[in-house]
Amino acid sequence: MFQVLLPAEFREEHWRITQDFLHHGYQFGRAEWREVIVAFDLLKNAVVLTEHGMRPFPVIYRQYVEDLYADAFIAALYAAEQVSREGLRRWADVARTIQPGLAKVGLARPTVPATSLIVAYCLYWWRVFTLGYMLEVEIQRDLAASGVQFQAHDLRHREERLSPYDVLVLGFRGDIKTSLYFLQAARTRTLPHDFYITRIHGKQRTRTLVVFMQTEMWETIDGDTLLVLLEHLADTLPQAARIVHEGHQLTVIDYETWKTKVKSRQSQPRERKEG
Amino acid sequence: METMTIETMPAQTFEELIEHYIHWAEAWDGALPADVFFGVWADFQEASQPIALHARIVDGRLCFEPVAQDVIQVYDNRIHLEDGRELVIELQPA
Repeated sequence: MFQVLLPAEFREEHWRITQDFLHHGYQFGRAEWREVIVAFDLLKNAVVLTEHGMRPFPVIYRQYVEDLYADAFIAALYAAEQVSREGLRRWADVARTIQPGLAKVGLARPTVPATSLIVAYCLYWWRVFTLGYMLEVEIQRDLAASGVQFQAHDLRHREERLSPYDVLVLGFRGDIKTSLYFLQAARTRTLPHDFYITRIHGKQRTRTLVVFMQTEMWETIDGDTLLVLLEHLADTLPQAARIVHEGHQLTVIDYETWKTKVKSRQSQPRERKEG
Repeated sequence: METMTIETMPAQTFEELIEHYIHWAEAWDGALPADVFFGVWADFQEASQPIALHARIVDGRLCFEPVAQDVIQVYDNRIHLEDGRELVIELQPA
């Protein structure tokens, strides 16, 4: 017995957007990203059923991709001079092994079309995983080079990288996420950390880092902002602004300004938070 | 490739699609444009609703339908919570 059971909500349009992602995801606009994020979220509930039992797609991904390649990938990032270049090269090397590796253990079968979704799922999450850790290592290095006092985990240790937060600044817990993974998280849960650092492209296709902060952290390092709608935020940056997410206010500010304000605060006598 | 889907395409064509994906993704940093990023976030906010679980009674046993949320996962009469705990819902006679 070998069956791939897909969630009932995974419909024809999700098959299509999964294929479109593989074909030209880099050209996606707002509607396509919204659809593909939902499609890959739905696939978290897909399972492979065999006579040995049931294996959800996330378990297959962890067993045949992350557990095999994550440690070496992260170690290589720490050793690399150019994190992004090395990371993308190594991402591609592993990505090319995913389909053959799944085929070898019987999880990618031409006779069972739905197994192509297992391959697509593993490719997608390996991409999300690797880009996330590339960004995290880059931020760790930049914070150190910028003279920001912070504490971060050593991602080479699995138990440390599974910690619920990534970095501690002024006693506030921060999370570093790619823009795609940030959206994936923001879609399905509240944002519990004190601040988030993510990377987006500005209007001139420049790579821009932005920081989202809970009110307490923002009040610690500054104060004034303008309340704007999420959809208008792209026009507001780099000016600090406030938005509302799930009923809570978040302050948004560009990363360089955030660092300057944090360093200024760290140079003053500390009152209650450490870090 | 335009008329085929990954559900129907031959294995070799799917492998070519994977290689095509790796080729473009290797040259792309994955950061979304600001207007797309904030637009999608706004869309998700608008769509956010309380999580509704739907279930059927099959042979006297509760069976949940899959949920498109990653905070919980459901299988048959079991609800897996994000923190690793599991709720098992058993029906009792009235």
